[in-house]
Parts: sequence; structure tokens; C-alpha cells
Amino acid sequence: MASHRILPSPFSDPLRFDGAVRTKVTSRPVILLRRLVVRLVTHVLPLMLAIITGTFFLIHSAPGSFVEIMSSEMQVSDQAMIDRLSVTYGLDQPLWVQYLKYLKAVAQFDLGFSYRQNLPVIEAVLHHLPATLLLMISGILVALVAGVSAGAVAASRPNSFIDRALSMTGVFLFAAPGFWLGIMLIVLFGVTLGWLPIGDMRTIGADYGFFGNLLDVGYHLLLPALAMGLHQSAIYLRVTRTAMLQAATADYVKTARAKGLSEGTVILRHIFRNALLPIVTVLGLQFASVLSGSVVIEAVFNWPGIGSLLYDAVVARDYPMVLGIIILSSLVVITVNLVVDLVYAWLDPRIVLE
Amino acid sequence: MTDVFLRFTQNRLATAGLAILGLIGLIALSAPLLFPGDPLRIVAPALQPPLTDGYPFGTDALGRDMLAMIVHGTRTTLLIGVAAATTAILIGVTIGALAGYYGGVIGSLAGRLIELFQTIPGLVFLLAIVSFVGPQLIFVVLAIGIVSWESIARLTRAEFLAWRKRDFVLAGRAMGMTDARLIFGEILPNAIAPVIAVSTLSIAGAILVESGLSFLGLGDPSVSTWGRLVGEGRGLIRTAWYVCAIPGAAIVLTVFALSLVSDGLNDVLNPGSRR
Amino acid sequence: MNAQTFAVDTPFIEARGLTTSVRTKRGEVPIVTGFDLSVRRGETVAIVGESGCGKSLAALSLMQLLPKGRARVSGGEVRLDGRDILTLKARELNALRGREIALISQDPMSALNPVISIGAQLREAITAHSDLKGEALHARAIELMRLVQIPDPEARLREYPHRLSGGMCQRVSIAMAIASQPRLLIADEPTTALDVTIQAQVLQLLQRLKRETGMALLIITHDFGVVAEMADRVAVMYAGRIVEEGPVREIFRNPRHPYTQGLLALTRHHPRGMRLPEIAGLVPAYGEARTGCAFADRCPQARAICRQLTPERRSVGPLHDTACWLTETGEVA
Repeated sequence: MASHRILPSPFSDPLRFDGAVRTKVTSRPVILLRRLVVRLVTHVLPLMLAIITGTFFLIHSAPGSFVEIMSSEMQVSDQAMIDRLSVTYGLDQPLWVQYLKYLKAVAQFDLGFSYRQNLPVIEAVLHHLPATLLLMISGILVALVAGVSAGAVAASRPNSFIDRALSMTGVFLFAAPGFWLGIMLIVLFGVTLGWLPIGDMRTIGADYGFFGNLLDVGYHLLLPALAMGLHQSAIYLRVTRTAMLQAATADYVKTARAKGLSEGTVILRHIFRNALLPIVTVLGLQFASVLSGSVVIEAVFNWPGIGSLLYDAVVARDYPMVLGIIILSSLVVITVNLVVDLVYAWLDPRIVLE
Repeated sequence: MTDVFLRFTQNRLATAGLAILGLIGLIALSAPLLFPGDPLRIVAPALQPPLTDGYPFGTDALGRDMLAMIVHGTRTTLLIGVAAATTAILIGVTIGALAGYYGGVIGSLAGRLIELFQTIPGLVFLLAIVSFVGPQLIFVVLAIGIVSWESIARLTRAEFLAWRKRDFVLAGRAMGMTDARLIFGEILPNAIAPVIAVSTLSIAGAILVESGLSFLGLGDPSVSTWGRLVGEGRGLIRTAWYVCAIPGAAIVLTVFALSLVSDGLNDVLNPGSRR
Repeated sequence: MNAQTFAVDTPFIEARGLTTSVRTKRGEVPIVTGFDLSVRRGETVAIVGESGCGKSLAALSLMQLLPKGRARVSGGEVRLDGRDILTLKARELNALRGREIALISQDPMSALNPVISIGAQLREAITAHSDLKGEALHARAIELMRLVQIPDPEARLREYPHRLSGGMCQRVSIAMAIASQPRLLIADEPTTALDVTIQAQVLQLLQRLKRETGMALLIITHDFGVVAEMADRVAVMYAGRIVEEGPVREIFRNPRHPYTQGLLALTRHHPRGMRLPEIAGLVPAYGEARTGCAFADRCPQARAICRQLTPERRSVGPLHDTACWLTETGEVA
């Protein structure tokens, strides 16, 4: 009876055995670290270089000289002053010298001086970035919680009434522009019911202490986050539904059920765990458009973030600021995509390197 | 083709979407007949609520007829949406085909370009372009096209990658067909079906982007789109919220209908992609 | 050596008149009809038939593992130790799956969850029916890996399925299936997706495990070679019905149904491991209104009655029955 405890002879020659992949097991952190380095070199650096080069050409393709427009906006008419600006921006030098200088400046986070804000661009952007990130992350959380749970419910009863109703709601939310959704939420919760503030990030002139202020921000955050999140949630609903329905038909789910695992365990550990992969992918793909959405939502709610800054800059034709925001917001998107890529690789052991 | 249409009409939601679109298109075409003259002229006292005699959608803060503005806004909104989406489709299919068909330098450069445009937040880029070149209608249309082709390109690329190794393509190459002939004559007709479904959706996307731009008041000031109407009503939310709600609802309805049609097309042209 | 000594025991599991239907666009279509089969303790039974005959669906019905919303048991009963499992609640079913009846699937690569480590999947199978924790749990996992002859189990437990070969994955599947010492193991085409040399190893392994644990084995296969090697009893399925059933030796020596005869004749001329070659004609499409014997259109000996009435199963020898009109009057050679 106990014969199985003795290893049978075939193992004396492991190569004779039926071909398990016998490579060394590399630990996951090492794999991820390697991936991080490779991605930095093959993706992050080239993309940033491309974006910076693109903005450089945008400057030089703008109708009229950069300095002319800038000086007219700044209402400088003194030719000596204009010449000095030209020298400052290196416009008197050959294009490639200007390009190299520009690259060097950007690499040192010198993005020029905003004549509208009267601040270096980088300072103004860094000052407004936290508000935008807070809004975006809250919006994404709303979208994930609402979209993924609705998608999971829809997938649990495919083609039922509730599935159809949720899908229709999703199409509607996708069709509703964030700014309009925001205004409607303001009308309902801010104006008619009077429950929530209709704009700004904190109550003007009030100080409730550290935790009080935190709560105050949260209170102001609710509506804009909801406006952003609901529009985005439609995408997660759809992805989650499709991914879970697909995963549910997989053989390994049948295996899991055959083990006698409870339905909850099967759904969470086996179906949802696999459906998470496309959800994470979409999270990365959508991040840039969430940032775009944030620009409009900030205008609706008078939220003091990058969007407001950009709006002011565009209206005032504050070019250094506009370009600085493009570069920095792209950097944010690239960084987030890098993180998402690592999370994906961490979730899916099949990924090592492409 | 009739077969495709028949299967499409079996999807009740998609058919409903198509009917709504047809109606919206009809309104856009007949706007000058329905409301002749300048829709932006002042015709009545300001802020007449909806269902007032003669002004079913009421009047705005200047006393302009909301219904007339929305009907005329249909023309401009749809026109910009379709034109911008066409731009996006042309760029997207071209770059996507290059990225998917060619390996080597061309393919990877095109692939990188897709990645680049996926990275730059579209609206930020759009605002930047508009601030540099000015908000004239043609620039707005082209700029929206430039910031929205990326998803079409990604799909086209995937299709081309899947098709380029098929026997008939390899056979065509062996027979000495040119790349252009293979791309446009052999692969594109096969790859086009899912691209069509996404293209319908890209009209919806272009309308949403344009309305965001106009809402911010940064669109062409001589053109009155739905987004701009919402933006102009923004200051009135305490007193007359319908000024925002109604043009916004027009956007929702149009994008909603386009999404339904896109879903329907996807089911018909791309069987097996969804359960 | 074969477990025919158990044959007189009461059945461990018994399906009677089992009908399983699949939902299609045109409504529910019965795929398995009037399925009667019993498996006794420690016995090895094989269900054999061409692909699409409903054998996998019948086996999944025994465990209530049909894809939800797309297929369901629409008639008959399945008794396990006298309890009708079709009426069990989800919780009672979970207590039974893995513990009483376990399953290994056809494609070992897709039967394992790609994003969960081998160890976690194996431990999950153990803890589903035991309270083992920590060291003891790990020790049991190692023991199971040894039992299915996986070399270097410590390292393999930390691997993910994509790093193992098909044969290794099938061994892991078997380890998971026997984790709670089930009394019946259903093996759905356990070797179809494997290389020929590995097929033999896996079959040997199954046979040894069966000998050591005394569990019963229900093998679904299209391969009469597997039947000959493994089974005590065989049921031949055609178009959703069992058309002949009996002890393996008896069926090989004295097949009574023309379909069985056809299959065996073809098998004898083909090396083991190949897919069953087609008998002339097509398997009838499901959902066609069917009268008479489903095989009549392909049967070289069909008579008028075969197309009018469906034959019932009746005994043609000790433990041997078949559903064929020809056996009625003894016209089969």
C-alpha cells in the first residue's frame, strides 16, 4: 500500500521523463525589475524624446515667430526687449543648436517661464498637479467600483433583464459628456437638493483643522469624481462583463468547480482573477483620456488643477505653459502606463518580456 | 450586403439607434426649412421656460429660441463630428495598416507613433493645437482628427497583423503583387469590417471631443454647436438649468444612437467577437 | 488483476433515463437521451464513441458540472449511494465534488488556471475537503506530487502552468483530482491531447493510482485501445444514446450492435492513439426530428422497422445489452 512513497526508478534519469520545462525558477521580483529597466529604455525614454521633439516643432511651426506672439501678448513693443527674448530663447541660433538647448533644458525640468502666472512653468504645474491627480484617482475609483461590480452582476446573469438594463445604463453613461453629467449632478445635488457644494475644492475662507479640511475636500470632491467616474464606468462595465463571461467558459473554471470549491471562491479566485487582466489593460489605455476628461470637469467645478491652468494658458496664449503641460501630463501618463504594465506582469505569470 | 442588413435589423436596439440617427440626420438637413433665418437672433423675452407658446424648449438668457438653436446646432455638430471622424479614420487606417503590414523600421515606427498618440492626453493636445493655430472650424476639425485616430489605428494594426500571414496574401506576394495592391486590394477588404464598427463609434467620440472644446468656449466662435450651447448656459444653472440640459440631451441621444449602431454593426460584421 | 470481483457490488453511482439538453437559438435540444449507466465500487468503466456523440456531456451531468445557462439535465436521475444528486443544493454538491467524484479534463494545459501557481491550485483542492494548514498542507501537496510521479515537487509547486509540459500538467490535474481520495474519478479523454509516449505513462499512472486507492474510474474516450487496456466494462454511445454495453472482453469478442462492430473493425486496422476514422455517412444533426434508430441511415443492415421505432436496450448475454432491432430475431452474425 505504501509503495507510492518510494520514488520509482524513472527519476534516476530526469531527461527521460516527459519533458517538463526544467529551467531555473526566476523569482518574480527579479522578473519585474528586469522588465522595469527594459521598459524604461525601450518605451519611456523614446516616447518622452518624441514628445519633447514634437513640442519643439510645434513651437517652430506656429504662425509668426514664437517671440513675436509672446511679446505681443506681453505687450512688449520695444525692439530691444524683443531681441533680448530672442536671445533668451536662443532663436538667433541655428535650429539644431536650439533643439539641443531645448532638450537639455527640459531634461533639467526647465520648461520656461509662464508670463501669465508669472512663475516658472514647472512650479505652476507642480502646484496644481496634486488637485488633478486627486480628482483623477477618485474618478477612476468611482469608475472601477461602479463599472466592475455592475459588469460582474451583468455577467452573472447574461441576457437577463438586469444584464440588459445595466448594459443600457452603460451605453447612456458613455454617451453623456462628463461636463454635462457634472452640470446635471450640480443641478440635482447642489442646487435643487442643496446637499453638496457646486464647485471649488474647499470652502472658501474656512479652516476646520487638518482632518476637518480633509473632510471638506472630500465633500467638494464627491460630485466631480462622480461626474468623471460615471462616464468612465461604462467602459469598465463592458470590459468586465465580456472578460468574466469569457473566463467563465474556461476549462480551469470547470476544474475549480470539480474540486468542490464554493461558487464564491470559483468566481473570485478563478473567474475574476483572470478577468482582472483585461480590466488592468483598459485602466492603462484609458488613463490619458481620464486626464483629458479632468480638464473639462475642472472647468465645470472650478477645481484648481492642471485643467484650469491649461484653460487659462490657452486663453492667454501662454505657450510655455501649454507646452509644459503637454510634456508633464504625458510624463504622468507614461509613468502610470509603466506602473500598469508592471502590475499586469505581476498579475500574469506568463508575461516575462515580449 | 442585404444579408448583413437583414441581420442588422434583427438587432432591435441597433435598428432603433439607426432610426434615431436617421431622424437626427433629417433634422440636420431640413434645419433651414424648419427654422428659416438666423437661429441666433433674439425673438422673445429672455428665459422663457420650456413649453412656452411657440417656444417648446424655451428661450435662453438673450431671448433666443432654444429649439431653433438646437436644430441648427444639429447641422454643425454632426458636420464637425463626421468630418473629424473621417480625418481620424484616414489617418488611423493608414498608420494602422503600415504598422501591421510592414515589419522592420516602418512597422515599428508606425507602432511607436500609435503609442505616442495614446500617451498624450487628447484634449490637452487639442487645446494646444487650437491655441497655436487658432480655433477656425477647419483647424478644429483637423485637430480633433489628429487627436482621435489612435484607437482606429490600433484595431487596424491588429487586423493587418492577423491577415498578413494568410495564404492568399502570401500567394499574392509570391505572384509579385505590389505592397499597395496587397494592402488595399487583398488585406483591407478583409480587415475593414471591425474597422467600420469602430469608425461609427469614432463619430461619437469626435462629437464628444468637439462638445468638450466648445463647452470650454475654445471652439470656433462663429459656429454654434450643442457643446457651445451647454457652455453658454452654464452660468444659469441656478435659474434656468434647462438651457444646459436640453442641448446636452441632444448630444447624449446622438452618441447613444451611434453606440447602438456601432454595437449592432460589430455583431453583424464581426461575429464571434462578442458572445 | 482486474477488479471484476467488485462487479457484483451495488452500484456506487447510477444514472437512469438521464436526458441532457443544450440551449440553442432554436430552443432546447436534447443531446443525451435515456442514458442508463452504473459504476460499481473500484470498477473501471469506459464510455466510447465518436466526438460529438454526447459522451462528455453525459459525464459532466453525473457531476452536475454542465455549463450554466447553456446546458441542463432535463430528465432522469443520477443516484450516488442512493441519493439523487440532481436534487442536491449547491452546498451539498460542493461537498460531493472532489470528495466523492473527481474529474480530469481533456486538455491539461487549459484545465489549469494560468495565473495561479501549481502549488496554490493543488492546495486549494486539498483544503476544499480538509482542514490541513501550514506544514501539513504543504507536506500533503508534496506527497500528492510524488504520487503522480512529478520530479522535484518542491520547485514544481512554485511554477505556473505555462512552464510545464502537457504531460506534467495532466499529472498535476490528476494530483488535484485525487487530493481528497475520491471514490470515482471521471477522466474525460485523459490522453487525447498528449503525445503517444506520454499517453502510455499517464494511463499507467491512472491504473496504478486506481489499484492503490481502490477508486472507481469512468473513462471517456474515442479510443478502443484505451478501452482494452483500462476498462472492465464499456458502454458504446451513438448520437446521445448508449447502444451497447457489456464487459470489455465480451464486447470485443462478440459485438452485437452494427455500430460497435463498425467501430471495432475500423480500430483493428488502425494503430492506437489515432482518432476514430469515420464510418460511412454522417452523424445525424441534433434537433432533427428523429424516429427510429439514429444509426439506421448509416447501418448496412438496417431494415424497415429500424426507421420507424427506436429500439430499447435489452439483454443479449450475461451483463451484455444492446439497443438494436436486429438482435430481436438473431439476424446478426
